[in-house]
Amino acid sequence: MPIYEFPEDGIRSRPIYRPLQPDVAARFHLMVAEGAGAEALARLHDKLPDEASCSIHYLAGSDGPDGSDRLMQLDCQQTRIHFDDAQLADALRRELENASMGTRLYVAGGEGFIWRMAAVGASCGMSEEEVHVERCGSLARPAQCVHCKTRVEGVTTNIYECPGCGLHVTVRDHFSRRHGAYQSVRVDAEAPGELPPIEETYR
Amino acid sequence: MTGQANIPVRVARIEQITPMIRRFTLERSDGGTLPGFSGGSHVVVTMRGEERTHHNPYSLMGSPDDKQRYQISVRRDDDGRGGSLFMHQKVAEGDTLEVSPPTNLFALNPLAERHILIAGGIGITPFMAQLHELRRAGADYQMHYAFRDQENAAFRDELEAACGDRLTAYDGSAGQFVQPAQLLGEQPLGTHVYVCGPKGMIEAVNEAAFELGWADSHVHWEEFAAPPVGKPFRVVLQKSGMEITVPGASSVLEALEDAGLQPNCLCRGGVCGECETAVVEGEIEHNDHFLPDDVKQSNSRMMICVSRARSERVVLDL
Amino acid sequence: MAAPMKIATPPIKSAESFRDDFTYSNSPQAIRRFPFPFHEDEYMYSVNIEPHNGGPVGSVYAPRFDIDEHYLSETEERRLVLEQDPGRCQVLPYMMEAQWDTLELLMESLAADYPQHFTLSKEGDRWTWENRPLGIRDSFVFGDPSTLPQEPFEYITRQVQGDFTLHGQRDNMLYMDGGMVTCQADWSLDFDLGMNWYEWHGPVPKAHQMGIFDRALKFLLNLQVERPVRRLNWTMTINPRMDTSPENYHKWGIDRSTVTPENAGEKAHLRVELQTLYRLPRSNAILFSIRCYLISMEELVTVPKWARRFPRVLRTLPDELAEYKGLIDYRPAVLEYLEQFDDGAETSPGTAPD
Repeated sequence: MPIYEFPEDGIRSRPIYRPLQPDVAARFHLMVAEGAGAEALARLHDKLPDEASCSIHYLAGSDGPDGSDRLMQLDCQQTRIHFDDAQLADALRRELENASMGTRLYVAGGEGFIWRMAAVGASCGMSEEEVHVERCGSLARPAQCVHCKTRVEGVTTNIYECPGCGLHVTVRDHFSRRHGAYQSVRVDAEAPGELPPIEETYR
Repeated sequence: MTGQANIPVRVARIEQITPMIRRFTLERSDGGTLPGFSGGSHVVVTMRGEERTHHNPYSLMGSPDDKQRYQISVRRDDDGRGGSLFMHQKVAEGDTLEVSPPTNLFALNPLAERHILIAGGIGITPFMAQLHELRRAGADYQMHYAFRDQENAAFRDELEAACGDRLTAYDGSAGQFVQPAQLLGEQPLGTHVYVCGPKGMIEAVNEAAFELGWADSHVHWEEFAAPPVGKPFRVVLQKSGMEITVPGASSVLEALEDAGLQPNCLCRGGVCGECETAVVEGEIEHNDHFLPDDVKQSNSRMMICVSRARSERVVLDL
Repeated sequence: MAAPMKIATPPIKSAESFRDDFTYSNSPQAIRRFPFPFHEDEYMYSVNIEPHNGGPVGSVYAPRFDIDEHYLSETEERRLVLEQDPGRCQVLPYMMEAQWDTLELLMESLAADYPQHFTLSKEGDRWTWENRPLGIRDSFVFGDPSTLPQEPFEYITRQVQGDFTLHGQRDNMLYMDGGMVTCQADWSLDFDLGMNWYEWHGPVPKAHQMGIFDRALKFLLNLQVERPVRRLNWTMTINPRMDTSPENYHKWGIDRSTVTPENAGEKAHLRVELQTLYRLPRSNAILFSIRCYLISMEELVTVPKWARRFPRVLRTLPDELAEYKGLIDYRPAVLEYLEQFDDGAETSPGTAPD
């Protein structure tokens, strides 16, 4: 399995997302999703060997459809529904702290969610190879303004007004997994006031 | 990386550790300090014999904080190509040798939550240096050391003093063997395993880790391939038009060096990738741990420090 | 080979500014030792890595880390940047060993290369560091961060010109695990921290497709202790501004729209980075020193060879790279200024002034 996969064109820090596949070498499958990610976990669960050991954490009530019922029906050692991102992250951390080598973490959801959960895995000593991610639902981008560092969760347009500094910033393809965000940079720095057309690019 | 000056060293001390193993303490013969290093590093020792020059990689086993001296240990191999015999039979205290600057192809992962070190026999040497680092960092580690019998339990006292109850010793003559599946089972997330020893031990640890679902990036091993002795063959260098014979007991790299060339190289053990060379024609017997299997099968590239020709003649893009 | 060049190293000036009134300038001696990066009259991309084992006496290549006449100006500029944005210096927690490696390398190199400015004395782990230009004298215990006013990496890099980054090596990959980055060519340490080699080079066009980063990575993974290497990189900056960070791009980006053929000589600067890479001994990390040199077009054309060659290079720079370097819009104005100094004569080989 290649650890490093990058887009062929453009800025290569932009992550590539693929449908989740079971890592059959693993002994324990820890599955985490929000919103539309429930569907991805259900698909993943179908592909797991019958005897596989797994656990599911799901964040209901975030954007997108509620897949709680769908996940509760799956045959899984433990399925827990959470109603808040931080609560889910805490539960995930507790479970990882007691987990053994041979565990894989699977995350499905929006990009902000994915990288918050991946960071929990990394802080428990998991390497990139042990964490699999799939983007589900909206293509809206989490972005961080490089000037004032203000983070915005779901940017759908190529240009937005930063709520921190009020500048018009454009969302680049340059992506930081540590921040879980794309980089936003002032768009009219060299010609103040001259804004390119604003388009809904990431829906 | 070609043509770099080696460091001249004087053999300050030779200790017979076991019937088969000698430890050499080396100091700079021009009086200066030696380059610092990290645990797991090796140096390539150049031994200028009367008949031939040997270049063998040996792990540094002293404290990385000590810039006054390097320590290496050499296990005598009576069937090898002569480097270890040279060290045992020809080198005396006060003699001079040359060493390359240190290179680390077997480093500890500083992100690990726990380190499990597994050594077999002379494979203990890189860990001797790493233990200094682990102790200084206050890291969580276990040292598992297997040896044939008490007579061949090199450095056991030093290890006990350094590791205390983190050391588990396995005396093969008493039926004690490392059980990789047991050691690696139920380890917390973020554990890394490091193994250095006989081929069978490395394979057993890799297999157990795979069976238990460990990701490859958590499994580390070092095994320098000594260039095997084989049949002589011809090497044609396409760019320069030279043609030379590689004797049975020399590697391609050594044969090229004997012919006055200076190909890129670093570890001389088929690990670092520095001497990777394109093959224009010929069939290769790959002995390295660097090239991926599909490249090996395609016969398109070879590591000239350890691999040989299966055909009578190879053409290299040199 | 050209005859060995002898260059006087000019004395350290009192502090000049890289912002607001921009009082920075180069003395005639500083111009002669400027690391002009172009070997020929046409733009060529290459990795051009070579051993960093000295150079002609007085040249920027001679010492391990070059201290020049702008020492006080650049350390003061660094202090100002950090005061406004402490995030310009960050090191990930598991890099403490690399921090001490950096401190040791820089102190030993500076004390050996510039005994008139710096002194390092050791009694076991008890070290005393004296930096006369900055009036610093500190005693500390090597290995004990609590005995220094800042963490070791920040402490020492506040006292050396140029940016520094720290790269851990794991699983045949290098990571951006720390840095002191206050005079950068438009990249953000805070954003790039933790990225792997391919990610942090992501924004660079063309070179990925050419396989340049694959080869450079393979080369650096085998970099040896005490065998540092170097290369030059370049771009252009309007006004002698050291801090061309993305963080402050909303402030300096506008400068690019102010260039005319009349003011290009004064405003447009060639920005050259002397990049040196060191394998750190105990941590096995790599220290990347990115030493920035700025020269105005007016200063550059005082060397006739450079006055002929630079416009020829600039004209042949592919648009994609001119765009990436942020100079595509003002390139015509700079060329118009420079071309009056290019009489079309042939230029001699090498980069040094005739």
